[in-house]
Amino acid sequence: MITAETLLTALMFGVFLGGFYGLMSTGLSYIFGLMGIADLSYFGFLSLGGYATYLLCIAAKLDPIIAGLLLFPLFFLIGCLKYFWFNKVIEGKHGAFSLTTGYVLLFGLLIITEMCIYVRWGITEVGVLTTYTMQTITAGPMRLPLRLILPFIVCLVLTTMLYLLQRRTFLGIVMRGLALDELVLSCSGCNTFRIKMIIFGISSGLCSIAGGLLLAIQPINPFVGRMFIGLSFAICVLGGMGNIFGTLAAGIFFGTVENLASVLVDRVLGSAILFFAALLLLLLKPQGLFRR
Amino acid sequence: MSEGMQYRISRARIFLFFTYFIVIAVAAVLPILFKVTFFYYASYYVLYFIILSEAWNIFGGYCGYVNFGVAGFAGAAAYTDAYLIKIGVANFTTALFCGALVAVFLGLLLGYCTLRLRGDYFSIASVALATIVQMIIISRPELGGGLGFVIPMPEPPQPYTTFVEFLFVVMVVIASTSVLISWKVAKSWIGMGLVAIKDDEIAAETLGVPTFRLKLLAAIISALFIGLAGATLPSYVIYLDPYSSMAIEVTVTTLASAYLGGLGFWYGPLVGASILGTASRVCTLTIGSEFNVLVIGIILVVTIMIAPSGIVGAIKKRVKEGNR
Repeated sequence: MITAETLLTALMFGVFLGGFYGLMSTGLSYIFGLMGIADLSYFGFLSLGGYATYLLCIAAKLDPIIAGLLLFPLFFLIGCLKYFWFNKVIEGKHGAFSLTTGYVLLFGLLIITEMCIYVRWGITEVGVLTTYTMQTITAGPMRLPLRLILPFIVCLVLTTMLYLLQRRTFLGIVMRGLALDELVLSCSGCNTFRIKMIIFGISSGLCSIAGGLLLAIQPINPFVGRMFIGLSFAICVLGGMGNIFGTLAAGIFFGTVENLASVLVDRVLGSAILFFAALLLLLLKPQGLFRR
Repeated sequence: MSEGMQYRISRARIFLFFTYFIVIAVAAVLPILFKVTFFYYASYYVLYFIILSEAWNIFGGYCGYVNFGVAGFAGAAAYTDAYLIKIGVANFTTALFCGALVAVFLGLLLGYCTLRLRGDYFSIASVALATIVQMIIISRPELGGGLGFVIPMPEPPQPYTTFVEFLFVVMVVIASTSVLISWKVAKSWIGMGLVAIKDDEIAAETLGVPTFRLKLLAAIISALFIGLAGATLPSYVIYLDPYSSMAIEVTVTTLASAYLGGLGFWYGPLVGASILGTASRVCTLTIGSEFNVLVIGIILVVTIMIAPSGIVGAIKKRVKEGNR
C-alpha cells in the first residue's frame, strides 16, 4: 500500500538526487552543449573521479565531498590534456572535426579508463562511511537522509557559482560565444583552442566533484559512470544545451520522475519508462524544454 | 560508363557470387570430413565478430552514424531466441529469425526516433538502449534474471554429428551473406547515398537524396545482421546470462574490428575481425578477459591515432602512391 508519506518521501528523494544529476550533467553540458561533442569518456572520468576521491579519503581521512573539491585542479589539468590529445588526433588530422571518428576515439578512452580501474580494484563496490552517512533528519512525517541533503546543498552552491561564471565574467561570454559561432569568435581575436581547453578542463574537474558527491551518496564500482549515460544526455538536451539552471531543473525533473516511477511501478521498469519518455521528448521537442 | 568498365563490374560480380557459393559449399562439407571440434568452437567467435562488424560497418562506416549499442541489439536477439526455444514454441530456425526481427524492431524504433536529428543523438540513444535492455533482462525472473538460464542443446540435422558443426555452417552462411550484402550495398545507389550523407548531410538532402529513408534502411539492414548473429549465441553457449552476452566487450571488439580493417570498405571489417577475433580469443585464454577488453580498447584508440583508415585503407594508399 502506497501512502501519501511514501510518495512525499520519494518526491523529496527525487529532488535531492536530481540535484546531483543536474551537477553531473552540467559537466557534460559544457562539452556537449557548448562544443557539440558527445563525449562518452566523461563517464569514465566520473568513475575515475569517484575512485580518486576514494583514495584521497582513505589516505588523508577526509570527507568525500571535500576530497572531491580538492581534486578539482588535478582533474582540470587532466581535462586540458584530454582536449590537447583530442585536438591533435582528430581536429588536427582530419581537418574539420570528424564526428564518427571522434566519438569512437572518446568511446575507446571510456573503455580504457573503466578497464584500468577494473583491473586494479576489481568489480567489488567501494564506499566511504562518514559521520552523516547513516543519519537522518525528521521533517514533518518524512525522514530525510543527510547523505542526500548535503550533496544537494553543494550542488546548489556550485551551480550558482557556475551560473555566475557563465553570465558575469568575460570567460563566460566567450564560452557562450563558442556555442553560437566558433568562426566569428576566432575572427574577433579569441584563441578558441585555449577556450575549448578550459571548457574541457572545467568539465573534467566537475567529474571529480561529482565523483566525490556520488561516493557520499552510494558505494561505487568501476562501471558506475556508464549507468548515467542515457539519463545525463537526456538531461543535457532537455535542459537546453549549456544552460546551467536549465540543466539543474531538468536533472531535478528526471530525478523526481525516476523516483516516483520506481515507487509506483518498479525500479527497473521505472528507468525503462524514463528512457522511452526521454526518447519521445527528443522526437517531439528536440530543442529542449529550456532556452539555450 | 564505358563498355570495358561494365564488363569489369559484371566480371567482379560473377566472381563474387561464385566465391560466395564455393565458401558455403566448402563450409558445409568441412565438418563431415574433418572432425576437429575445437576448430569449430574457436571459429565461432571469429565468424560472430565478422558478422557484427560487417553489419555495423553498413551504418557506421558507410553512413557515419555510430551505433554503440551492438551488445544491446545482439543481446535482445539472443534472449528472444533463447526464450522461444525454452518455452518450446519455436525450433532453431524460427527462433533465429524471431530474434533477428526483435533486433530489427529495436533498430527501427531507435532510428525512427533519433535519425531526424543530428548524428550524435542516435549514438547516445544506442548506448542508453544497450543499458536498458540489460537492466530489463536482469529484472525479469522469467528470463532468468541476473543468473541467466540454460537452454536445451538442439539436435543436429542429419549429416552432422555435433550441433556446433551445424552451427559453424550456419555462421558461415550468415557471415558470407553479410559480406555479400555489404558489397551489394556499397556498389548500389544505397551505398552512394549513404556516403553522400556521411560527407555532407545537408548538401545530400538538397541534391535530392532521401536521407531519412536511406538512414533508416541502413539501420534496419545493420540491425538485421546484428540480430542474426546474436540469435545464434544461445545455441552456442547453452548457458545464457545477461552480463557476458551483453558485455561491453562485444561492442568494443566490433568497433575495433571495423576500424582496424578499414572503415567504409566492404571487406575492411572482414579483415579486421579475422585478425582481432583470433587475437581476442588468444588474449582471453592467455591473460584473462578483463585484460582482453583493455587490450582491444587500446588497439581501437591506437588505430584511430596512427591509421584512421585501417589496414585496407593504408594498403590502398600505399598501392596508389606506388602507381604514381
